[in-house]
Amino acid sequence: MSTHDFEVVWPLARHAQAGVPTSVQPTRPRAALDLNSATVAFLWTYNRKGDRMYDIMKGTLRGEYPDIQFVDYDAFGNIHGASEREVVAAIPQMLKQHKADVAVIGVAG
Amino acid sequence: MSRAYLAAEQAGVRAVAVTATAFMGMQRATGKAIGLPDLRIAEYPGVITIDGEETFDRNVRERVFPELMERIREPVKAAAKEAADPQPRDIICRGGFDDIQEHFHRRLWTDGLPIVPPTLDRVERFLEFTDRDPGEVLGVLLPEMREATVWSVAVNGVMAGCRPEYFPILLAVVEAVADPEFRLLHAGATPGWEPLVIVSGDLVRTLNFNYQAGAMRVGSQANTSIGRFLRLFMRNVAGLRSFPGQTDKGTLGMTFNVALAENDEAVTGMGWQPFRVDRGFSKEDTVVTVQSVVAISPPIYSGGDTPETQLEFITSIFGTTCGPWTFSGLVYGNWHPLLVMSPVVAKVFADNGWTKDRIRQHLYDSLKIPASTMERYFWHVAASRWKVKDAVDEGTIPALYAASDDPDRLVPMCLKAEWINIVLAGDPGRNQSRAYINNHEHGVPVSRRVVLPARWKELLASAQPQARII
Repeated sequence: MSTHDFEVVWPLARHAQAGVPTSVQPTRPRAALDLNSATVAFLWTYNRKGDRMYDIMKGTLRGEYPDIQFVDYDAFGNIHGASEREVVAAIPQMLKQHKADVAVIGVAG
Repeated sequence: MSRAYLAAEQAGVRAVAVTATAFMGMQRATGKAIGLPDLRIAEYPGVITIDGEETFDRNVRERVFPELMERIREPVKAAAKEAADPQPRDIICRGGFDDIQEHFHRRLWTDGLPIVPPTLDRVERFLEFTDRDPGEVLGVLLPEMREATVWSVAVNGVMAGCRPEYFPILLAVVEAVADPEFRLLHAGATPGWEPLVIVSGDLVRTLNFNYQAGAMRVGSQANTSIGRFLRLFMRNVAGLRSFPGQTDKGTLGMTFNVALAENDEAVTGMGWQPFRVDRGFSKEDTVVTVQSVVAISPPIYSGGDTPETQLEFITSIFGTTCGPWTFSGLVYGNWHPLLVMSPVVAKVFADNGWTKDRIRQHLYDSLKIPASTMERYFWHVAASRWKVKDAVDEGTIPALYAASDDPDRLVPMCLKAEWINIVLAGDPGRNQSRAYINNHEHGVPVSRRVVLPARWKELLASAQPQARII
């Protein structure tokens, strides 16, 4: 049986404002995407059969959208390897450089 | 993966994550934590590393691909406005002891054990033991990207059952894990590693750490509550919550480690330098080192009065504890195993003129494993196509690992002799050691000097005396 009252404070801590990705918050409308003229980038953790998975995806996409362009995972490097921080830091610039419209990012599992 | 997703979205590129079923909860929780509450995910239904090629291909064609197309076409959703976080001094709950426990348990703010209610007066007593500002940010901790403040260290220190005089050590512990080099964010990875706090210096005796028999057992207040504190802090401030659907994906996981305290008298008495000096600090400092532990060896008994006989089983059991998981050290170019020796074992080496460096070199030279064993094991873990030579080609490990094309060639298990750490602790009257294996680049050893407040002696004198063991 409790006999004392306690007044306690919050054990968590506030979110770091600098890290909140305001650019992806809801306000920015995006134009409808025409996949036939789109560039799809594939980023990979270099495990969990992502290479096989992406081959299937690319083959199916190419069948449906003959003019679609791809940027392969080797252009970026391993997003879950020894150079993860450097690879992830370079992603925005790489995507801009390749004029990517979509980034497929896998594989968690 | 979430950070790659975030990077793409920040570049204005529509991102879609591909995730196996069991990782959906973690992905969503991590996405929410980093400001992406509506992560677009194409789900792989099942366990990728278990499914055969036919099942895998069918799942990709019939389940993943259609979801991928849906997610690509999905409009960006508006983020829901969340309630503002409480301010540090806000009272978030009033009640009796049981009410407080329930309030905290339900919100996953505990480790499953009762906590000491973090009342303002208790938190303020902790803060007396530092000259730092309570609002000072020691680092931003992923995955939830919360600010590790001096205040938040005090709150979780109270909850863990620490004494106020441990506070300078708690601050050093958090500084260490907040260092990006430590990669705390990966503590929720499937191997389920746990951090280990190692304390070396005068404060070991001042604060009554146990560094002798049963040093790594729950029991001593200093060792136990400081170990518990770090796990609570990781849970509440980093956001690594071990509950299904949360951010911690340790498949089985391990329980928290109590803090390991070095036996300073023993190590200096035999002419060896203490661990803090090995780590580049002064002998006069008290230093906290934090590293990950993913595997612990069985007890290694070693007899005889020569280094050679002592090493007979230290070497072999150390090696089997590293085992095929050594591949991960090669993939990430980091591998920092720790050998904890009881003083009587270390004394045999010291009496025969051996230094810690000589023991390290012996282990480095002796421990070898076939490249093919590691390559095969990584296939079982997750790899599609990895070879040891790949890590050489990437410049992650030295060329000697690809000295021949023989798939069964023996290669060193330890990347560098100097990365093998040695600490003396345990029963001084028994000849036993244990190996504590770190998880490659996740939780590499990071050290911080403990900074005491100007009024340390006065504050310590005013601290509640520790109960005498009867």
